[in-house]
Amino acid sequence: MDNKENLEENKKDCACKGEGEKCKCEENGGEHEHLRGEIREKGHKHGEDCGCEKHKEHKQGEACGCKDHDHEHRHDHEHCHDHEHGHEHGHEHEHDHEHDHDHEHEAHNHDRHDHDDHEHDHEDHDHEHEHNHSPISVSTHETSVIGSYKLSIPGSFEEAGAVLDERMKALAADVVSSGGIIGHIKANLIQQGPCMMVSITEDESNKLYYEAQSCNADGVAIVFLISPQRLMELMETHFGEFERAN
Amino acid sequence: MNLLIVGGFLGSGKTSILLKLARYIAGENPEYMSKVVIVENEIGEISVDDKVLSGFGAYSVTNMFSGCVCCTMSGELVSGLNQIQKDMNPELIILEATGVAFPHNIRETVKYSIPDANCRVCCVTDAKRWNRLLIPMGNLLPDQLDSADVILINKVDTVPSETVDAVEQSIRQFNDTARYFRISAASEIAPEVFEAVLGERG
Repeated sequence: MDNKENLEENKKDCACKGEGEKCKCEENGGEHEHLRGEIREKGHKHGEDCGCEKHKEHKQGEACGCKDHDHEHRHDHEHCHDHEHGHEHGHEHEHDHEHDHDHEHEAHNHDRHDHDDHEHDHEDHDHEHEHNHSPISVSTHETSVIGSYKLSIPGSFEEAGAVLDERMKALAADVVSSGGIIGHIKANLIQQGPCMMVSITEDESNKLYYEAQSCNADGVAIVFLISPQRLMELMETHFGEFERAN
Repeated sequence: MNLLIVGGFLGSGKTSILLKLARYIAGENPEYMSKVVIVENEIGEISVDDKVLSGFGAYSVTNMFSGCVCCTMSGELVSGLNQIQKDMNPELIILEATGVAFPHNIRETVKYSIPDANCRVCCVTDAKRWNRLLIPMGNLLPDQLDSADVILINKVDTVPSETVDAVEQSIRQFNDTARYFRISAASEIAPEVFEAVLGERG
């Protein structure tokens, strides 16, 4: 079979239906026409949807050959837990690494990027920013595993209190059913009271009064005989839906 | 310097007892509260108990968290105590240890660095969980009792008296020289318990 026949053969099985530019996607058997994107090396990473299964996910920290999504990540990683979290800028990266919480993204330079489930365009921007991190973290001290959480729970004090109580009990039950021992799981729930925004443009200030509509819960779960990863999973399950409290 | 170290496993009731102790010390004289400084040590990144203690009275509460003063933060403990003594000159410093601390280690650290400190150790135990925790936490619970001057068996209202007897018998294997009291921090604690905990202050 010559190259031309090869190309025609590849087109039949390829999700890109043979349109566009070249791709060397191994899943499709070799070089063929492609809907979008530049030439890719086999085992390509971090690109937009080219139709092949391999592009559906990409790993944090790997090289990105995608010209539409050219940003680099710089993390200052120090300590001892693996976790996953959702990035603020709208797409999911899977993390599996050890790191410190105070890491930052540097120099996001992306004007447009596409993913399987969404697409967005925006202006070029270069910036540095702190991550708005997960509201939960896990550390260890000798044999103890310490989960910390800072949650913003919507609703009144009574509603938030009921939710927090329910979630903490569920976490406790899951720790025990996972073979762990509870040292203690405790939290403070603090109601966000009256708030005021002060605004000044010239001499006088404008004040806007309002009531915060959520409560903050700061707490710890100190447990034994389960892994930090397992505690993180359980905390993600029970607390993961909440925003981090300020 | 008068230092009272309150130790005991997580969830044994240290903070609840400490609240009552601080009130007892203050008595009818709220001004005396300022003479008591409470140092909270927590191993987690988030401190919970200090807010509770601060919310219950005008005690001076300071924090040492993200580590344990019996080991990783022993240096900070000594400098922190010296600073408190210098700045506030309290009549009593109460240190609530983490639930995984060995109070005798803390006492040794303090005695080594501040030889004239008058140091007492009170260990709180949980009558309800003692038997359940003793085997899996066997490397921790017995050593926490070591060299305690007073041992409080808390939550005695939550288990039958024969269970309390068995718990005390078990605990005495590890420290038979301390003074023992059976209490419930959920209700009143007798003054003689607090007097024993405080001992003679210099």
